[in-house]
Parts: sequence; structure tokens; C-alpha cells
Amino acid sequence: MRTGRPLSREAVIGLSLAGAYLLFAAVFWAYPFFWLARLSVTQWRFFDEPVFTGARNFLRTVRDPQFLLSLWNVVRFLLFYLPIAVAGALTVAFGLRHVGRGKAFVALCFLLSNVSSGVAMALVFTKIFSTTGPLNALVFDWVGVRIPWTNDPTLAMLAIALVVAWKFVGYYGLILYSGLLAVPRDIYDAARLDHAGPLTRLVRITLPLLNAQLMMVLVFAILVSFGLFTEPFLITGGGPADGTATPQMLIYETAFRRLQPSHAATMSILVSAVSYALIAAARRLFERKVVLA
Amino acid sequence: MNRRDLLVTGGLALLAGCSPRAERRRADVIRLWVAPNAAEEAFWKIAVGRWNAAGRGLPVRFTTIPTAGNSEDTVLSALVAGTEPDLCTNVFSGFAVQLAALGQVIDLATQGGFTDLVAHRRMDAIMPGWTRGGRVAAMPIYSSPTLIWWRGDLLEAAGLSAPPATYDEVYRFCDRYVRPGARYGMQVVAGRSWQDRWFDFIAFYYAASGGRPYLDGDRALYANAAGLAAAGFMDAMFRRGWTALDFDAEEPLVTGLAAGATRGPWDVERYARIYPDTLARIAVGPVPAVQSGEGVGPGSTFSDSKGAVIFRSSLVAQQAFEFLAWVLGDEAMNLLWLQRTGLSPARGDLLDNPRFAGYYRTNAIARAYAEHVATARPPALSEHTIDVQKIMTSRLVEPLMTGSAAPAQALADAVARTDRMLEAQA
Amino acid sequence: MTAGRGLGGWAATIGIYALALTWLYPFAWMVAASLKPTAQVYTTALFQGDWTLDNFRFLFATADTLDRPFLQAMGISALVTFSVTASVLLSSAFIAFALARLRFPGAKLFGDFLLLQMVIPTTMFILPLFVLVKQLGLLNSLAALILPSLMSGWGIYMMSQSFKAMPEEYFDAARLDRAGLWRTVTAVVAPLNKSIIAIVALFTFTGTWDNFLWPLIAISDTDRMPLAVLLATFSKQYGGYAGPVMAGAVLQTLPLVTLFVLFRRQFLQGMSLTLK
Repeated sequence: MRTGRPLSREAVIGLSLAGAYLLFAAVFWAYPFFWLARLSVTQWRFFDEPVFTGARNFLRTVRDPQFLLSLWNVVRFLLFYLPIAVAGALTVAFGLRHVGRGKAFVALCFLLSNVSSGVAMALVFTKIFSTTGPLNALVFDWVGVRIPWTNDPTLAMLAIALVVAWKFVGYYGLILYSGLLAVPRDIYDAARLDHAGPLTRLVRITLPLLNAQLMMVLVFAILVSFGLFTEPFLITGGGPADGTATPQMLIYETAFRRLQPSHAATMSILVSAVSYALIAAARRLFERKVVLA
Repeated sequence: MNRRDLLVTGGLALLAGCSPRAERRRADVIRLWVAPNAAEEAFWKIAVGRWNAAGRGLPVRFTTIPTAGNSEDTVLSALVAGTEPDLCTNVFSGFAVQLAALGQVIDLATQGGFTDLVAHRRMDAIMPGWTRGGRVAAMPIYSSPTLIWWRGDLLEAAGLSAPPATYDEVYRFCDRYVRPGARYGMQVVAGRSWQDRWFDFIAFYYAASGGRPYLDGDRALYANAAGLAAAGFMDAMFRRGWTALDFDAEEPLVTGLAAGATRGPWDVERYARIYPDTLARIAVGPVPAVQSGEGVGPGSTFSDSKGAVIFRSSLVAQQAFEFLAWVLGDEAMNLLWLQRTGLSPARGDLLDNPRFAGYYRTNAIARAYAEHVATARPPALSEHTIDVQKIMTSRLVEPLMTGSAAPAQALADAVARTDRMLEAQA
Repeated sequence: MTAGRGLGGWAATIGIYALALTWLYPFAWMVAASLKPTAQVYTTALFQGDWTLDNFRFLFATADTLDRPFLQAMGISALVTFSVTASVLLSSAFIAFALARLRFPGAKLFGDFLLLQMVIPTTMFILPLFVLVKQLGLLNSLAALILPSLMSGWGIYMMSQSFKAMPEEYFDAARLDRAGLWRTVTAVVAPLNKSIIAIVALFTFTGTWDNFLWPLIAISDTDRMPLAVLLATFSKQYGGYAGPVMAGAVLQTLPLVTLFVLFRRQFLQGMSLTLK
């Protein structure tokens, strides 16, 4: 701190306000952060005293088949979720650009699902996806079979992916739409002069120019997939044969049913690390700096 | 400045209102948690009302276990949070053993009035299934055998005068009744979660083995002839398309989608309320076994039994036990329980006791359940029930459902995994 | 793909409208199912069947007969959500103002710290937060639901981005008027940043009203549960009664949808701002 010059009144106010937040964060963010670190290197069962055990928790967690299965479930979720969500978002974005006056109405229809209650909608979708629910009634009328959504691990994951995609397509669509707005029209005119068909225009021009927004959607999707809890918990309860058991559900179960909070804490840390790594890998692979010459 | 003062005052008032309950443990009331289903809730409301009105002891306040998933998880997280009640019902024997191992429940055998209660209810045959090392962690409240409900009219139309009791009889019925995709013979798998194993594989196993245990301490025992018979039955039903993978939201017995399904006495109230016509046509039959018990009497089956525990942190343990003893011992209360839930109280004298005769005379379905109480076996006494049954689900039942493994192979795999898991936990 | 006249363009327009309406189907089904008797929920088409308010009556009747206090849970949810939203808005506005427009040592570090916080997922903290709240003795109380969410780093960051973009003239005028901190923020900054405030308010409200995992483990008494958790426990016990469960879902969703429809313009404006 500079000697001699007292802090201006402005600086005092600024520091107090920032300090208020830092105090809050110290209690409700930093302290849990350190507790998490502490829990992960001790053995504790809630009713006894924590015992320091070093890195044993990490070794055990990394080899825990259920934990690895939950991570694999995230990958399976993304395999379903990404194509559906991105395709849907692109449809919404292009639709918004195409529609003249009804933009606000269309946007609001898609956004409503994002803003409504996850708990309530999970319960609604449980009913909709059931064997005798309206979705199966429709499919039965068309094709003559009923889809056992919640009894097959793959279908259960697809069902969850559909529900979460329904929730987020509007939001992702808006993100992509804001990117679309920035694309100048004359590029398309030049492309048409070069006899580029609509598909080529989409893949070679539009998508690369949307790279920043697509990356944003990808990162959000990855974050959502690692934090998934409400939908699998309420709709499939972890799914047939743990087929939809997500890491968050496993952490909850490990802490509160098996009464192993240390194990759960270690899992939390590892899950965050894995999600980071995945995001970093995705950015390395797909992020491009696109500059309009 | 005025608005700011108002805000500050409002904020302080809010924070003041946020204070938690000052005393966590109270010594002037008995807190009770009961099973989260409508029928039992109705019973306890009356029982607690009568106890409180007559002032027989400390007042009791009850609520259903506030669970959004498994009631066991909720009880455990309440224990962790320190918000558990004094007395909790809906505890199955394995969970009681788990709670005892954690040191969270008291030994009921040491409570005053215990031996009297056991004698009065003639529970000598029942108590061994709940006693480990001479300690009783939970007091059984009811013992409900698992039986299969059949649509009597559909059975008759296919030429059966009584519900099928052996595998062959079931196969013969399915042959005549099943229309692929539209009608199934019987619901074989009760559900996807670990508790449902009680009502399918374990029930079939007990029926096939005559009540012999499927788990013993640290070894799984069910990869034997009886297990093979049970698994083989389930496999055959799926392979031949006589049962479906999922009978989820709708009631198959109502529409005839399946002619038989495992239903419990608790369903009587639900059917009476929503599907009264179907209820009139229900005939209750035993769990199919390899041979019928011709002339031998009712076959073995699984007994869904739950009991009550008293937590160690309770300050009113003895009074809570007195309340429990009154509810369980008083015959009027048992009759009320029967009337409300249809579940057989864990008493050895159900069919002999004249107080219940009137009830059983007028309730054929309940009578069928009471007849099987003696031969119904409770779940194996293990702290790792959930894990054992989850392995059963994913390694035995699910492969049988999809046909991805032969019965013998699935059994061997499940038993091997279970043994490994039990070893690791020990 | 310009806005084409002709058949293709019209088909696309109809297509997108149809898709938008399809997105509303689950809501329509939910409301329809809540107004039908349970036995008809699966057997009748969307708008067929008898109309009845029995499901709602059942929901509120169980409050009396079977100790499922739905009205109380709604009250708790409302109290918690309003408190948290008000607190977050107030704190975020002032702190964001400090970050964006006041000069003080360490301002940049503070901004970086906020970014760091936003990047670390909050789901990691549920378990140690539980331990912390237990140590504070606040489990099973409203404080457990309100205190950990009093301030939001995300809210501060969002608002500060918006405040940074304001032209200096407004503040010169305010300083000339010798406006204090309170007046500057409430009379100058807030009215000009309605969209971002609406966004922060809406997302905070939604997030708190619909918060599930945290109240699930922090609260274990039914008379202290917020509506989301009570609804889930109700569905667990009365899952077979589809009508009342859907009625509960309607109750849970109604405030959010209402807010959304009332403030849609600000919401849309704010969304486009946040995406820049």
C-alpha cells in the first residue's frame, strides 16, 4: 500500500463492498472448499472422528467400478444429448432468423421450458414417458409397438437426454441466433455466385462462422451433463442396472446411504477435474479463431 | 433513509425467524415416523389420536417418512443431520441390523415389557428372524406374505378353476391366454429397484426351496437347484413372450394386460377406491413353485415384514416402547390395523384369535394372506441388503429379462459378485 | 437461407411455428392432467375427458388429513425465494457498481476471483456445505435455505459487465448532485439497466424456487420443506394418483411461468445482452 496517501472515500466504499462479498465467500465458498480437500484425505463416517488416510481415497475412487460407470454414463448422455441439442438449437436459430414478425413469440415458446420448474417437469415427463402414457400411445398408433423407456438402459438414457434437450434447446438456440445475426449477408451472395448449394453453405460457411457460439453451447452442455441430478433421480432413479446413474447421484448416495462422505468428497473433486479436462479437450479440438478477412 | 431502515429491520426480522429449533431432543413428546403410504398413515392417525386422547403416556406426534427416494436413505440422512425422530417404523430386518451396526438404535430386548409383549402376541416363531446375537434391533409390526393376484374371470375363461400353483400350470394358462403384444400371462418382474427383488426372485426362490435362506452372513447361497428353478421360470416366461418388460403406470390386472401380478394387501384399499370392479374379480394364489404342495399345506413365500426401531439419541426411549407395546399388543389396535391396511400383524395367533375371526370371515383376500403367514420367510438378516439386491437386479434379473445370459450363468455371476462385495465390506 | 417467399419459405415458417407449439405440449398435458380424474389421465386425449377440480382439492385435503402442508410449503418456497432474490439483487447491484465504477485497490483481482468462482461448479460444494451448516446448527431451518445463497458471484459479474458500459456523463451528473451511494445506485444505475436486473432476478428466482438437491438433504421435516421437495415426496408416496401429482406440478410451475410471461420483454432484451 502506498504510504502517505490515504484511501479516497471512493476506495473505501469500494473496498467495503468487495470485502462484504469476500467475507460471504470465505464462509460459504472457501471454507467448504477446504473442507472438501480435508475430507478427501481422511476417512470419516459421520458418526466418528475423521482419520487422516492420505491418498488412499483417491486410489480407491479411481478404481471404484460404480464411479467409473457413472462417468461413462456422462459420456453416453453426451452422445445422445449433443446431436439432439445442437440440431434443435440450429433449427431454432434458423427458424428465428427466418420468421419475420413472430420472433418474440417463437423465442418465448422455446424459452419457457428453460424457465419452468425442473422438479415439476421431471414428474410430468415420468408420466409422459410411461408405457401407457401419451407418447407411447402416439407411437403405438403409428408403429404398433410401445417403447419401454424406463426399462432399457439405452432407452432410459435417451429419455433423459430428450428431457434435458427439451429444457435447453431454446436457450442454446438463442445463443446460436445471436451468432447468426453477426454473419454478413454478402458472404452468402458470394457463395451463391460460386454455385454453392444450401448444404455446402451451411457446413462450409455458417457453421464455422458460428464457432464461438457453438463452443459456448458445447461447454454449457458438458457442464450440464456433469451436474445432472434432478431428472435421473426423479424419472429413472438411477436407471435399470445403474444405467442412468450420474456422478451427482452417486455422490449423494455414497454420502447419505453408504455413509461414506470422504469417498463422496473425493468423487466430487475427481468429477470436477474430469469435467475440466473434457472442456479443455473440447476446446483444443474444436475451437477455431474465425476471422472475416 | 427511511426505506433503508425498513429494509434493515425487515432483514433482521427475517434472520430472527430463521433460527433453528432451539432444542433438538425433546423429553416431553414422542416423535414418530411412519411408512409413506396412505393406508398406514390413516391407521396411525387413529392410533396416535386415541393414545393422546386417553393420555396413556407422553403425547405422540407423527409424520410419514419424508422421502423423495428410498425411505432408508431418508432415515440415514436424518441420522446424519441429527434430525431423526424417537421411534421409526417401516424398517425391514436388514436395515435394522445396519442401524444396529452403526450403533444408532437401542436393543429392544432390554426394554421393560418386551418379554410380555412377545408372549402376548405369540411371536416366538417370528422373533428369531429379527434377533441377532440375542439383540433385537427392531420390533416386527406386520408380516405380509407375498402372493399373486389373478383375474378369476380370465382364469375361468381359460379353463382354470383355481389360481395356478406350479410352473407347469402357469405355462399351460399362458399358452391359452397370451396374445403377443396385447395380452400377457403374468407380471413376473415386480420392478426395477432393489426392493422389488423381494416380490419376484426372492419370493420365487423361497417357494422353490421351501423357505431355505438365500444369504448367510458373508455368502450368497442361491446358486443352487432352487435358485435355478426360480431363475429358469423367469427366463422361460420372458423367452416365450408370456410376460412383458414393464407394466409401469397402468394397472395390468384392470385391463387384462396381464392376468396375474404380485400385489399386496395394501393394494386392496387402492383398488377399492379406484378399480372396485376389478377387485371383485380377484382370486389370490400362491407363488408358483416347482411342485405344488399337494396335501402339504401352503407353500413358502417371501414375507414382507417391517418393524419399528427406537433411536439411541432418544430421551424418551422407555415411553416410546410403551407406546409401541400398546399399539402392537392391544387386539383392538391390531384389528384396526387389519381393517386399514389389510397387512397381517406379526402375531402367531391370527387365525385362532376370536377377535379377528369376524374380520377374516368377511375378507377372503386377507384370509388368504393370513393363511400363509406361518410359512412366509422374512428377508435375510444382512446389513448389505441393498447392495446384495442391487447385484441381484443388475446381474441376475436384468439379464434374464433381456435374454443376455442363461439362467445358470446369470446365477453364478450374481453369486460370485455378491460374495466378492460382501468380502470387501467385511 | 434468406427469408424466401414462395412455398419453401411458407413451409419453413409454418414448420417453426408448429415446432414452437410442440414445445409447449408438456405444459398443456400437465395442466390437462391436473384437471381430469386420475382414471382418465392416460385413457383420454388431451382435451377430452371430464373437467374437475378434485385433484386440487385432494392436494389441499391431504394437508389436513395426512399432514402434507402444501399451502405452507408454497409459503416457505415463496418466503425463501423472495428473500434470496431481494438479497441477491441488492447485494449484486451495489457490489457490481463498486466493481464497475469505483476505483479501489485490488479491483481487478476481485474481478478475476469472481470469474474463477464462476468456473468452479457449485455442485462440488453440496457435501461440505452440508457439514458446515450442520456445524452451525442450522440444519432443518429456513436459514439453511437462505443464508448460503444471500449473494451471488454470477449476479455481481453479470451486472458489472452491464454497468461498465454506461457512459460517464450520468455519474458526473450524479456527483454534481452530491448523490450518495444509495441514491446513485437506485436512482441512476438501476433504471438504466433494467434488462440485466430482470435477468438476474428471473434466474435467481427460478433457481431458488426450483432448488431440489440442497433442500432435500438440508431439511427433513415436512412442515419446513419447500414446495419442490414436498412435491417429490408426495409423488413418491402417491405416485399412482397421477391427477393430484400433476396438480402439484402445476402449483410448482405456475409462479415461474407467470413471472416469465409478465416480464417477457425485459427477459428477451436481457438475454440478448448477456449473449454479447
